[in-house]
Amino acid sequence: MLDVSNVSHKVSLSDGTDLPLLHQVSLSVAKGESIAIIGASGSGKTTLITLMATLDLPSSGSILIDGQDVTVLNEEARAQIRARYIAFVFQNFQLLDGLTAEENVMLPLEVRGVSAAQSVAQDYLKAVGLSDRRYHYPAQLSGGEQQRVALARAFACRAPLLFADEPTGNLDVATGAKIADLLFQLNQQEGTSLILVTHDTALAARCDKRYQMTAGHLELLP
Amino acid sequence: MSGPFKILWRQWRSRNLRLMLLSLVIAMATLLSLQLLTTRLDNSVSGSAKELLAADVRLETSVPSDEKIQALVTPFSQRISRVIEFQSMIFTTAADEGQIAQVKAVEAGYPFYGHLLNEQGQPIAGEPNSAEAWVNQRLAQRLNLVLGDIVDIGEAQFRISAIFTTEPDNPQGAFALSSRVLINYSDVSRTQSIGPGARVNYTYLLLLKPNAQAALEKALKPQLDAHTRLVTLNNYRSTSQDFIQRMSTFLLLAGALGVMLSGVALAIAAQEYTAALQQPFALLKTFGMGPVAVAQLFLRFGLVFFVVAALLAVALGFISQLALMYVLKNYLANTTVTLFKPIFASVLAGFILLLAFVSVPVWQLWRLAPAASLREQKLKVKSALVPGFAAVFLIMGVLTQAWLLTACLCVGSAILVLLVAVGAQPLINYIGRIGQRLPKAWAAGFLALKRHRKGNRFLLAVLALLLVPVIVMAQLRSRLVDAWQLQLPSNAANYFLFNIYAQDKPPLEQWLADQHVKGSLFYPMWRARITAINQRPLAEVAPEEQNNPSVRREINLTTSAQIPAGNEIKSGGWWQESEQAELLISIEERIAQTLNIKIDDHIILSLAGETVEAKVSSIRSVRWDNLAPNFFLITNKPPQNEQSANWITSLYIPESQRASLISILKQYPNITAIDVAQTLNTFRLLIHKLSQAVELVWVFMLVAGLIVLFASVQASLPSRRQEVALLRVAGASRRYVVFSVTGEFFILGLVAATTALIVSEGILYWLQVRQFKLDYQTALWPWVCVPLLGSVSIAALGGFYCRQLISVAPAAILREQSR
Repeated sequence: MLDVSNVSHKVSLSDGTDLPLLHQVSLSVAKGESIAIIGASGSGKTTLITLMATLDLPSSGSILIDGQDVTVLNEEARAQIRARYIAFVFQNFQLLDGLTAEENVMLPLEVRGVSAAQSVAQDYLKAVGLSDRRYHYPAQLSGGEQQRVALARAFACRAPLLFADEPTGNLDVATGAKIADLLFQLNQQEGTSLILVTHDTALAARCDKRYQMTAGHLELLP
Repeated sequence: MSGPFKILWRQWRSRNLRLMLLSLVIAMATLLSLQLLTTRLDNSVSGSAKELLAADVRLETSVPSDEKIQALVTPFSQRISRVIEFQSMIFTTAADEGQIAQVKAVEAGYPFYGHLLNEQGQPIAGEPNSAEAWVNQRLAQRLNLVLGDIVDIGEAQFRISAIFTTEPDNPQGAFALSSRVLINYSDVSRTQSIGPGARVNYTYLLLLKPNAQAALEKALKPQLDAHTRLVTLNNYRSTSQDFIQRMSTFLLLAGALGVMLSGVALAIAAQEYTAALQQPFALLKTFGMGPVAVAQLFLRFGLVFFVVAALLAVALGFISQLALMYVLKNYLANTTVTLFKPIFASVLAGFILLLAFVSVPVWQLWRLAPAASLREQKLKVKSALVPGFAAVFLIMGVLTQAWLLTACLCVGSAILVLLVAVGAQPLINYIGRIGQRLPKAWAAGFLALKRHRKGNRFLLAVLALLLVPVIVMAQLRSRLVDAWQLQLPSNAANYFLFNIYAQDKPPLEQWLADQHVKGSLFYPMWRARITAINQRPLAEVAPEEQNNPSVRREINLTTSAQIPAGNEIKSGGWWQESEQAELLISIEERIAQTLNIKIDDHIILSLAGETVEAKVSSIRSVRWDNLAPNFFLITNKPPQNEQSANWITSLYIPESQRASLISILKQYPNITAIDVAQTLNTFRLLIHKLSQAVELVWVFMLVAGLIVLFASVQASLPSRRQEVALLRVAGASRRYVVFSVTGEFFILGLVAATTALIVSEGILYWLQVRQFKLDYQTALWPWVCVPLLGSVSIAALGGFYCRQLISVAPAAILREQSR
């Protein structure tokens, strides 16, 4: 489903020098497979997920999604790839304050032109146990509830690839555990390929494969 | 409404979209109402000028009947009315007295514009019927004529059916000195007054078809010769309309500044609006929304937003226009104004403003990397000041047609912002140090000012920028109105007395002294005709002007040691009292221009058959509307024995002394008095009403300034939210927080107001002296009111927002910041 091959990435600094962020990174994710990328802060985890999710272009290397090299595409074409293949769960939830829980879930569906966006959103809010909170705004929800809305939004897209960036990072242990359970449960139900970035080794252990990111170098853990 | 569309619309709740809408509406409504008003003013001025012509254009010829010319003008005209003017003796049948008079025979339709007014100031309808004559007040007084009397003009008899005081197309206006009679055109032949060699002027008054003037001028140009000339509005736009045009300039300037302030508000609000859209748009892009879809979304939303703004602006523009027209209903010509052009121009200007101020932030959003949703850092939204102010410059320039003034205002604003932004930091540091010596609660505001010095530099610059035009316009408005009022003091002359014989002058002067009546000087007056310039006959020097009535007729001449009030030397110099050796003359500039008279030319004057030569020592402009005796020609010494002169003066007679004036005039029946009180009152009321119109436009500008204030204070709030929450977590009392925020805004308001006042004085000096040609005057009240009102209102606004901040639990704000 996802093939990353020899991807390197660097950014130019204001003094004219280049700062390398990733070195020759390769990995592949099969359909329905889950992988975890663990590593310290600043090791390059978020940079890698950004590139794999077509949100940015690598300095070199190729990234194939469903066999298509996304590094040669322009932003418009990459947006189409994201609409078709990719869903996200963010560490900071990224719910829009001005929209209700239901409207937040509907948002990516409307972008993708899903006609029954509202009923799909209601189904997924029900699946995360928040059908009675669908008219509530993010400010009226707890952190755990907000992340459940974010999960409902991600799975409602029915995208084959789900990127989760520290999905339990902003939550307490108990709430984080519940969210993790929900994430893996829905992932199993939907048959989604899951790419999980986390500090939490216990959470990473629940994935099919685990990678360690250290200073831009990726290593498959046994 | 789809989710993405809703995201854009949801910002309505954050006030930024409302401020954007409001500033755009104010900009367009200001432009629309101003254009409608100035078009009406312009039409009104043109209307007054047309009254001086009594037609759209006049074709004047000395050739009796030129069918070729008539055939030429007919296709361009809706109506043509012929006028014949000649001189003839008028005799009263009863008393057998005679008087030479200018006879004017008119056809149906005369005058196409304006009215003849009777002694009561009422318009006289239609034209004289056959065998009827209308005489002017002067002739009636000279021959003791009353309505119904019979007079002989040449071989025909006429019954007096009206006595008029004002004739629209008489070049001497209300102060006509000659005896005049109007008869019906068909009666000319009956008088048998036009014999061979008679001096006759034939005029075609033309009421033109719409937009036909240019074509007519083009068609007539080859046909015009020494005997025929076309008189258009351009020849007649007199200085008496200066004040309306000065006010038009002021209105346009106020409007242009209103647009500039609206632009500033739009820029600030747009920046905040798009900053708030960063996260949603990064997210939408993450969800797969491509650049094309984002562009379409903005276009759709922008269109809806703009249409709503345009509709509101047109409605507001019309409402304000109706209010203005209600105020001015009796004073401006009720002309039809084409609506399409002003609406189109205002809406187009609004579109350009929106595009210019919003395009840069929207472009940034469009280009925003979707990865921003994963990264915590906030994109710094660039403002659109360069394209925005380029658009403001363009709109202001097109609106005022005064590009230099516009450039000065724009560059001045930019320099002001730059100076304030640069100078603010040391100033804020200094003020902060002073504040540290104050008690804790009072020092809070000073400390906050110092903490936010970076952001406050911008806020200070914007506040100063918004206050400068408001102060300038408030002062300039009252200065202009004062200047207009000064033109017409409350005791301006309301009577003109002329035809005063030399022997009647001393008793009349004594009566005026006894009655404590204020009046102008007594001027001796002769009737003179310029016959030659530098030994060359007038016919040779200016053959094309031979039929120009203002040149051909006798014009008034006086002698004066001092230059009369309302006269201004344009070239040459005024004489010393000691210069008595040579007869020097000062000539009114239009006459000099028409006859191409230069300084040091020698002109020959004919005064009652006697010829005198005078050397031109100056050319001067004359304020014909100052209601004082004015003269085309002034000499340094009497050109003839003063006994041969009639005297003229103007007086202010209060209503209580009117009866007394009438009784003295009965003792001197030769003296003619003209009551100009009614004209004067109309003029004064017009000025009063126009000043109300100016106030309304100023209110528009003030509203634009208030929007800037709201937008800029609101833009500074997010950074204060977290600080207020942290202060409260750290144990700061509500009182301390309130003192901190309101105190900071109070000091900002005070500094901004003082800075703006200093800058405003400089601008006011320049505008008064250079732009409006007035004496520089300043007022003390802004130095008290502006700092007080500025600091208190800005502190109140800060306090209002502060109340919102302290009513929210600190935890909620901190949680919001952490997300």
